[in-house]
Amino acid sequence: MGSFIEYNQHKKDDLFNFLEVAKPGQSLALEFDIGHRDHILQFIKHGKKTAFGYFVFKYWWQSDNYKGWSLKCTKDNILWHPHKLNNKVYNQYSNDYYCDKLRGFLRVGLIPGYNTKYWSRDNHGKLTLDKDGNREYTIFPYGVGIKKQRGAHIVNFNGTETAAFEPMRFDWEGNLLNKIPYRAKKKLKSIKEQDREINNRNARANYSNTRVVNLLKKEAFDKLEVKDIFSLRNVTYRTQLINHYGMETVLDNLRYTITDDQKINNSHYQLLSVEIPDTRPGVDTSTRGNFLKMINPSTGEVHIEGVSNTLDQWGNIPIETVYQALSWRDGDRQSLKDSGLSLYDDNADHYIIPTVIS
Amino acid sequence: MKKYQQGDVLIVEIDEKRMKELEKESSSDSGPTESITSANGEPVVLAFGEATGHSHQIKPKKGDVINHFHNSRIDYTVPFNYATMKDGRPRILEDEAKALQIIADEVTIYHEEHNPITVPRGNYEVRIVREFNHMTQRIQRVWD
Repeated sequence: MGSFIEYNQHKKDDLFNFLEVAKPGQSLALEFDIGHRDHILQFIKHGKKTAFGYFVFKYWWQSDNYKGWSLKCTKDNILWHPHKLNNKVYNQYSNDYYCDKLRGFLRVGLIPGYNTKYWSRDNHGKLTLDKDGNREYTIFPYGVGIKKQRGAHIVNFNGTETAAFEPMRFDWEGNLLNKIPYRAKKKLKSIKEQDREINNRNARANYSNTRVVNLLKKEAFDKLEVKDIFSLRNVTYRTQLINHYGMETVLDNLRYTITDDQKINNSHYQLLSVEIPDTRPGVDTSTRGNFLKMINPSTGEVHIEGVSNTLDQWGNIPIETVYQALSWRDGDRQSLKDSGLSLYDDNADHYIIPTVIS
Repeated sequence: MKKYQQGDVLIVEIDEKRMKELEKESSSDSGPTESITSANGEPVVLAFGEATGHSHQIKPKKGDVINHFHNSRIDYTVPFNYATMKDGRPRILEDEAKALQIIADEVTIYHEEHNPITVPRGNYEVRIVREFNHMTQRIQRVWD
């Protein structure tokens, strides 16, 4: 459910009064908080009906990035255009500086209906019961929100969604007054598209996993195929299915290459590059993925686990050895980083061979 | 840096500084966490197996002190939907150790399917190995 910041009519009255009667150079401070930090939104009168708004931390002076005005307002509207001195705002879609300040401005409570939990789909509406007790889903009359999604900030002005752009002009009721630029529309479309693809991929994987687990629990092996191994998230179920078919049959049914082969602590490991079939019915595409084939030293069972195709999160260092794969699996590079090891090398696998393994 | 492994559980030796960081993380307000001290021989569970119901646990001798800082945060690796929720709530990673302080000569960790391993006195970080799900293109902890 949405979480709305209380609209503060008193603050707005103070501000409107200030805009009406203050002389140029006079200021008005409105306090608000973001997280654990207290902030002040300081308005300075400029001209007859205009004021500039500046953000300042309450207890200490801030870096150069926070100097300069962030908004310009009259009693009719607000021009949101944070200036970043000596540093041009080049990508407002993903600019945290730009959007965190907008979040801060909305927290002051001058705009009604700021929804801090503008994220899930139920925030756009409200579920009510009519007099007969029937459920009614009505669109909430107003609501302003900002969220970060797929690396970009999306702003909602009373139901008008857009990727953040600069400058934005909106009124005191939270209605966007600018025309949304083409590139912001294009950005929003691409975010929605990415989101749809990820959601669909997850839904497909969840469906496949649930279906295979249910068949496995019923021991309906006649309805299962070797490629269903890739649908299973749980290693125990996966091993159960591998044991049913036998590892040789599993590998015979898959196209794979052995990238590396090692013996560590008397255990045999193989890094396989496997062609993973798409489990959707009627789809004949595949992708390549790394898998580690190993033997449980206690039980002797053969066991396979997926490993990333790259060692680093940026995808720059491909995993080509068993040591790299084991290091990724165990998170050893992170352990060494956490320990502050001065000899840490981004390109090394840094695998820590276990003292004891069972 | 020494590492001990029993199935999907890794016990990684850490220094005092890292131990303090982990203790601090466990006592932060980001999730319900707590520290458990076992000094009376009660078993300390490091991790549970979801499908098997098995567990990695220490059975300390009387007098051994095991400080176990654990997390019960929401498991964000699991998508929230009706199939993954339990009793209408998201899956919680309950009773999984994050940090372990062994004040004893050595302790033994037992599991139903793995041979016991012995870990000496020291400070350790407890982690679960991860794997890459090529179907979802996501990293997940290894579930057993």
